[in-house]
Amino acid sequence: MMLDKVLGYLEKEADDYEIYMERGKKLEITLEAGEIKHISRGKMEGYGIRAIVNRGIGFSSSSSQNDLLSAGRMAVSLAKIDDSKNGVGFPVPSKYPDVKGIYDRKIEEITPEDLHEYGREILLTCEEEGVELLYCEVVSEIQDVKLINSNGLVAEERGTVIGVLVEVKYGDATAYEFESSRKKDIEFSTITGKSAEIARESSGGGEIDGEINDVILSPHAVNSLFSNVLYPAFSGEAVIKGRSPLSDKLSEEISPGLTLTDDGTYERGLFSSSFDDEGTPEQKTPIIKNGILENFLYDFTYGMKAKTESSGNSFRENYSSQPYIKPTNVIVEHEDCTRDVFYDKAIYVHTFIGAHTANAVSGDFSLEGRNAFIIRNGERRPVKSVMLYGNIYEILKRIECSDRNIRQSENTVTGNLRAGGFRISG
Amino acid sequence: MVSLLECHLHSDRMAKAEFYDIRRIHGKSLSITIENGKVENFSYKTGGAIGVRALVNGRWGYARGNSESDIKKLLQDAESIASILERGNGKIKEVKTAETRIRVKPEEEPADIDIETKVKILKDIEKTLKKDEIINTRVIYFENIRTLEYTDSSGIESFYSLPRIGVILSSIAKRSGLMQQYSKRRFEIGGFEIFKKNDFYRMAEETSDIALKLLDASSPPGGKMKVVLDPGLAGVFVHEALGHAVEGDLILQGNSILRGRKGEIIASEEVNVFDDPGLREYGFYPFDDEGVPSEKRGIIKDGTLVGYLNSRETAVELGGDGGNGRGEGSNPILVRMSNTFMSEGDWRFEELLEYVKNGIYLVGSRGGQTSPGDGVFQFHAEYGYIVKNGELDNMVRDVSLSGLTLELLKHIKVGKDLKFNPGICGKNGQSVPVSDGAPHIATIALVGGA
Repeated sequence: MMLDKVLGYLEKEADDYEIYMERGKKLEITLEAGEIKHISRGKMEGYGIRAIVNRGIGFSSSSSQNDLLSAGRMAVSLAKIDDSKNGVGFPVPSKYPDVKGIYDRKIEEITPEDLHEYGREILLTCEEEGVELLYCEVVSEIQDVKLINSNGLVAEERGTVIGVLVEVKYGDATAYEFESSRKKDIEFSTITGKSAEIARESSGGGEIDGEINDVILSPHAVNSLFSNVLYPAFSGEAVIKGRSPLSDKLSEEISPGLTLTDDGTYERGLFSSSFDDEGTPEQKTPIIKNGILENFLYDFTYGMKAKTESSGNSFRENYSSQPYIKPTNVIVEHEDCTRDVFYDKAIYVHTFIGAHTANAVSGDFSLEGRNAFIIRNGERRPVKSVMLYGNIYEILKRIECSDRNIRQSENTVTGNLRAGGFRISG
Repeated sequence: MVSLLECHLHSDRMAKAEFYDIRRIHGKSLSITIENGKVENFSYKTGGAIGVRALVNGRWGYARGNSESDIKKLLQDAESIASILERGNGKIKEVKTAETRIRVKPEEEPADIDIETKVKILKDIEKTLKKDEIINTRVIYFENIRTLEYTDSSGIESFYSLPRIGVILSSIAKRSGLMQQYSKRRFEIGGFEIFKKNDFYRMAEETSDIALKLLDASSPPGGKMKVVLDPGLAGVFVHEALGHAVEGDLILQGNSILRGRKGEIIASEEVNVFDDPGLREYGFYPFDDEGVPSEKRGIIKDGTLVGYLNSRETAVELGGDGGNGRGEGSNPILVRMSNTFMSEGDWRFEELLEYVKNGIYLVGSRGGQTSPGDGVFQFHAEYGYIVKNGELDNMVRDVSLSGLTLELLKHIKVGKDLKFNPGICGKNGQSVPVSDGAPHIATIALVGGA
């Protein structure tokens, strides 16, 4: 067996090693212009090997078992030339938490015929809601991960996820909504209905009038903004290498009233698992607690360098990428808003365009808000175009409150968030 | 390697599909990062995938596997999946696909250079980034080769192998708690000759100098104003605001403001825009992922919209032969750009500044995004300069530009100095290499600032 061969080779040639194996099945349906376009079924597998020799570390990946041995050899040769001294070892075997709600057999049992049904349900809903379907994707995935390292660590887990994205048009406005779940409990007509509602409310958008500086961010907008401009600053690697604006701010108050907790064990969390992508047990880490910056996030290597422990935040985009530090599920908590305070004199933003262009090093951002509304005197009026500019560290100081409409958007679990400190032009 | 042609279904069974095609992709890449003087990441990746699609009763089924998958089984799977769907209107243009077998060779084969030499060169360049008040320096290097084999039910088989290489230089400057970052990059189709064709030492000096200058730059003003965009930023505009809006699949979805507007004047008459996959810029390919040979396509001629970009599917309704059908790995085909550019006009840079008189000059791009159905775009400049009385004044940082595409296009004045910039374009979760190009341009837009 190829795996045994490469393990044998690595035992001999490397001081430490790790093999990450991923196997997945994906079923998706795509709809375009009011019609079902195609259904796709795919299987994939891949392997990522890290080898350590004399504290040098090398990484090699391959999509095929047949190339495993050569990937192992490559990882070892790269490790021999590496002079970074980053090869500090890998996690030791530990007890893993029992994380609930990340695998649902019903998702594994979804068939192409089922997807066909979901597609038809979505199309029907669009008709009933009086909107045009521009684009829609429903994706169901099962993933098996297995991790082995030279410390005798062996970890395996299966996870499922189903997700939908619906983009619709009404008059001169378009809007999209998306939702993912670890369980087969997404109601496609409900998500389609939400997308339709936003599109209808956005049509006939006008200009911004008057002076408004407070913004209400939907969970999607919060995630877009935070992921691109704030979360990178929490990385222990960025702190050590001088790339984080928060590096000397531990124990300081950076956001009065805000609590941000990274929780890799969050039940049904989109990024929950028993162990991170290096085999460290998943856990809860308070990043900001009641306004104070308490912890950075670490993986095994940077945890060692910082003379602390890994916080279980090692993440791989897929088998072919090297692990790096990334949040799992960031739970955002703030005091509740009273209805009067929250829903008045503010600009509500559903999603951002261009969030990936923001500046994680300075914290500055300048983004276009989509499906934005002026909320004033109990009314919600759509705005055609609005640009929000500011610095995330000032925004953090001016977060007022959060409401209870909590949902998870990618890496962030939050309600709508109200904050000042934005500069707005439209 | 099994020839794809051997996988065609012949008389041993009746193929249900009206059409099918098979793509086998393989990639291998090496990347090296030097950060703060040390090698940080050595990584070598290989990967392969196979994507098969079948058209049955006007509906598409896709089956995807890795390089070892049984292609015949994948084809059967694609057909059976397509058969689940009710009858549909899916069509494909029968075109003369490329009968090409080409290995694009670099001038200097990176595989011939040992890794220690590469590390030494990169470390030397990285040293040049270090200056006073520069607290983080990084050089990222990659070299890769992508091979694509394509065949469809017409039986023609084609192949290419394409090398790419790139270097990114980046510096972070810090003073009194304020931090700013700047980076420069060069990505090319080719090999190690990139180090002869580019002076990375000079680029490293410039990178750190600009990072330092950004510490003193002010926030930009906000509001609608006249702007001059450098070729880097103008190129991103061409890509984001215009390029995506002429992608045939978005047009047919009803998600583009340029739908049904062929023949209309949509821009100033100085504007000419093309997409050309045959140019050896970063978006180059000899044939697309549907086997269609490269050809230059006109999008805007003298301000009039003359063409869309198409795949073989969208070409059935929108005309032409396709040529812009691309999928990342074995992913389903989408209409994508290749090398998209605005050609030269008549204005010199100084003349553009004089025309703007009081406004802003924006340089370099950190990327952008568009909502083509609304005709709204956003993109981000690396930095800029206030333009006062037709001359460059204070430096500003973190400026973003947004606006309505059609408005911006009507007011464009086009410069004389066309330059191309490499990039990676993302659409529906799929990334492909592209380039965009433009000269300096002047126009009116909404600037993001205080």
